[in-house]
Amino acid sequence: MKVPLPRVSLALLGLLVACAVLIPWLSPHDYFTPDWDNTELPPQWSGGHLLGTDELGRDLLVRLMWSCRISLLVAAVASAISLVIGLAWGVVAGYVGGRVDAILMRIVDVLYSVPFTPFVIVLTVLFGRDLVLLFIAIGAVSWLDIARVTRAQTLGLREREFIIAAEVAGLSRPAIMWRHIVPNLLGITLVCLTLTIPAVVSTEAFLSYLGLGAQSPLTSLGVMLADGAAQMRSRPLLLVMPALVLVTLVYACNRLGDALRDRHGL
Amino acid sequence: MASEALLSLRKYSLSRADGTPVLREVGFDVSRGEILGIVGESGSGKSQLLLSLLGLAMRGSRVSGSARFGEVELAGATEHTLRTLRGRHIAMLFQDPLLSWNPCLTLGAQLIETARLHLVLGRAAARERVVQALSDAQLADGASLLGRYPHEISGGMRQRAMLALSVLAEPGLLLADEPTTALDPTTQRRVLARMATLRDRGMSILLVTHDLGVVAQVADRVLVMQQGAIVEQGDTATLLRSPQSTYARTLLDAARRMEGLPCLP
Repeated sequence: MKVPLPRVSLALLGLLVACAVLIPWLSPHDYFTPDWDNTELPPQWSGGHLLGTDELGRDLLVRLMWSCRISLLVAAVASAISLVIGLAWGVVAGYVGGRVDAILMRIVDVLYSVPFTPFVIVLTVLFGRDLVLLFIAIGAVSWLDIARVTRAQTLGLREREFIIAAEVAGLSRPAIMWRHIVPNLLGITLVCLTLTIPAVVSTEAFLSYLGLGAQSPLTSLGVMLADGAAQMRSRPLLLVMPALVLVTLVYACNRLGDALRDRHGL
Repeated sequence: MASEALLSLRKYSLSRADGTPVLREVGFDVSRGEILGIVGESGSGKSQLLLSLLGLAMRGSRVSGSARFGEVELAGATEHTLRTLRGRHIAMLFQDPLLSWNPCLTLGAQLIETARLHLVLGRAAARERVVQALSDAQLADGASLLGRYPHEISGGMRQRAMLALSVLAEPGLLLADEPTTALDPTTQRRVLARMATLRDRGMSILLVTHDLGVVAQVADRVLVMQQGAIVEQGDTATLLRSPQSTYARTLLDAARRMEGLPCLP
């Protein structure tokens, strides 16, 4: 039976992605210019601040969408990095095997054992707080899972007859890995990826919350949560809205990932 | 005969990583343009014999003795030497055509890839060559087959296309591992007829099977294996009529009983 894709989650995800992509053209306001005449406005239809403004008079809805944009950008770049490294690493380890496999996978084990948060703190101390650093830090950690999964799959594929047939036909190892193993891993890497993206979004929010990620005036879900938490008694909306967006984003991605996994029977 | 042997094995042995023998001092010759049938029950080492010749036996296994292919010694040859032979000079055909095609790629992608690799052709020329090869294998409308995925065509077509793929580079030797076992009788006959044609053009074929009917149809000579050793070899007609070894007799009797024929005297 074919598992249906979750329509609500897909729609929500589509909406968030569309907003995040289109926000610079959608709104009359920007996310960084303070407007001292309109600080701390409540939600209102007139005046164009649908969710009100923050203490600097910046539109909350616009900032939310920009946060989404940054969070999704981090997720996309970090996932792409982890996909490329993880897939290559896993396929080479699984297919070549022997000593190469042992060395590559021990490296993965070692990296797994590095505590993530102190690692990022050390990086920021060394290189300063920077969004690019965030990409690298998250990408450097999230490829480990993909590497393990693809290696395990490759070990199974290696013994399959069509791979032996390709070897018998005289194809070189790189050709077999690229043309015959990688296409057979696309299903599982897609599933891995849809489950990596929400993890990366949460990690980014967590790091930005700690002040290690996006820097003001640039915003992200983590930055907005931190700002909102500071004034949650007086203006709960500033905390609730970014929290809601974060939960929706992560939930929709996870739900999609689960559905894809069931579909591929993994 | 021996002077024009294309493949010549002497005291060829293969053992697993743990030392269990798979092949015990096997020795035989295959001449140019000859089909040598290899029969024996499951586990007698037939498939491993073929794979080990190409250096693809189970990981960790060891070969000893000699296996000469033309001027090249296959036993203990480097991976590099073997790779230059694979597909180009020695091809292999497997039992299950569904398993031996990559399910994610079209037939065309896989055929053209091999053609480009071995015949050093451009994409367009390789495509032309592949369509020609498919029509030689009497697969009508080869051009439309190229865009299909393996699961979209019948088992018989898959195996005939696989045979076309194996012999694309016109190798001197074809190792066929139970190539007809998974096929219906009609397709089986077609595949065997194609093999006979290839033999007549000078290709040598090592045909592993447990179907004596297949052997009787196309093999010039037969070799009977039991537990990794050759118990009898000889010319097909003679061996099938009057087997000398007890094991070959048992095998023949079993086959005849299944056909409803009386046992041999």
